[in-house]
Amino acid sequence: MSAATLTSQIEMLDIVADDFEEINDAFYARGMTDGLPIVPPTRARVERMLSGSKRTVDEVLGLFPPSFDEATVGAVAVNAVMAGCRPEYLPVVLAAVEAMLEPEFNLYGINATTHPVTPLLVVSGPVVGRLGLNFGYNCFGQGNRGNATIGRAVRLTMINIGRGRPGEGDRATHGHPGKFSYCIAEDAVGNPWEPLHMQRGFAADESAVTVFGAEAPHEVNDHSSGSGAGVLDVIASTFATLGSNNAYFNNGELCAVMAPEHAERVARDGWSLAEVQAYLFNACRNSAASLRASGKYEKLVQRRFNEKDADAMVPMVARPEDICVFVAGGAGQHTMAIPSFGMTRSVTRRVGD
Amino acid sequence: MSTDQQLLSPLGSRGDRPIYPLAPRIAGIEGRRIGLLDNSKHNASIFLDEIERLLRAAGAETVRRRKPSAAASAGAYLDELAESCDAIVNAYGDCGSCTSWCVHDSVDIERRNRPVATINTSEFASLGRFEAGALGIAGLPIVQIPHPVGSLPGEVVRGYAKVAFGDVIEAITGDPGKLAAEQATTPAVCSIDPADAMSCGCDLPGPAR
Repeated sequence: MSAATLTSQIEMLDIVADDFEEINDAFYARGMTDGLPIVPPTRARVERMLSGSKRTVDEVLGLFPPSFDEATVGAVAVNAVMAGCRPEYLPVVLAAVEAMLEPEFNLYGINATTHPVTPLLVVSGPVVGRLGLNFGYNCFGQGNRGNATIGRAVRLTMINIGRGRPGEGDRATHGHPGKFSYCIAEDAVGNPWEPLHMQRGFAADESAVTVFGAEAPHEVNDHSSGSGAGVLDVIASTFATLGSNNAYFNNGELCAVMAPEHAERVARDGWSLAEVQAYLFNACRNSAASLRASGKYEKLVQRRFNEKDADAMVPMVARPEDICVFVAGGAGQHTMAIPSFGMTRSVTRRVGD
Repeated sequence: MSTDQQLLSPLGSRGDRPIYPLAPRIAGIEGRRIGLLDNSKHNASIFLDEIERLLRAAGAETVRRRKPSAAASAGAYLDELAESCDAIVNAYGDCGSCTSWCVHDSVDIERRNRPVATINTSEFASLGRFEAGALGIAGLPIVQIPHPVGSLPGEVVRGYAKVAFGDVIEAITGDPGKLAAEQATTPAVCSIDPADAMSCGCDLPGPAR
């Protein structure tokens, strides 16, 4: 397919400015940005972006809520240009969008809700090294072009294709800073257990992206407990709060992103991944009394505990494997505890060509 | 401007997705079976208790269903209510994800040829309208009540239901063309004055927005 026809099916905007500032003013005025300047999506740039994937420009990935407009490869590529992605990032962005459009992710709820939730992307497998994505120091923060722009591209699709604009299709009461970009890679080498994509049935040499309907990360500082179980107890105490959606939408997932040193400290005591998840499942609980006092008890989505026991501790997820555990981060004894929207399931999709 | 420098749109397209008409409305409520769909949001059951009392007083029979989560589809209740009822009252959307799924359920029921009165708070009615249009029924009759409602005392919620009852009946018995036109032409502003619902003597926490 020639370059001229590659993008002929993508609608043109009636913006005629050719000055960077003017173009940015026009995109901002149309509500098409996240507030930061965008890279103008010229036909030439979109064509270069599309060269990063073998997929066809008019392929429909799905209907994108809440607008339920069609998310084509071409429309996603335009947003990837605006975000500042390199063409080789496009397959990751496409896989993430496909994952978000799976019904169990509940993007319809996530894009429109008042809750501060946004898709957290976790990239796994050989593509991490190939694209130089950051799984180390400051992986949730600034500094890596791939992490920053892949996450930003996904947010721009939510704004432009799903029409999740603040106060319109995005009704987040506060939102959170990760709504600009929320993409990390996982550290397969520093992980004493199976990496995330292999936990979900992918091979070591396959690349995948997992999307979680996630709150902002919450710090778990533990330099002092001196044992694997001690680290897990501190993680559990960070999760077990009444303000979390998971307190009563308790058939969703929790996500623990352990720095290599925390993971090593736990594994050193002989814990397997399944044992870690089982321990956290039993420890990440709120008391039935506290849930009653705050009016949340009657709203519990599942009740797999002894309801006749007034002192029962109520699980925040339905099964141990619903506590997702993987490794990322630099040196230091920290974990990130990430509650979810609750009414969402994470989805993993293979990153294709 | 050269072809290479043309700016391309980041928006999705509607494609050739269909639009749907409103279901036929019923002629009156006396002797009719009305389904009350509770989305489990706080106070939705109190709101529907009052609507149910008024419907029965007007000679209707009622059926109650409560979906376990507001941020999900009503699932099997959609078929059940559409098959067993003449019309449905769906309460309510007072937040983002619950408005989304409330409107989604209403569109699903309208597409099963049963009229629905969809309750949204004033703050979220514009979202409800946008979503109804996105799902192919731009004229879905959305009955507005003041925002907020989930944090109010039960007496106030019953007051809102009393005042909204006329709009609820209109939404399931009115002329479909007129109902749809109203959604298209009137601003998404609630016509209910919270003070009208205050005959119970309760104080509203803060100004209604």
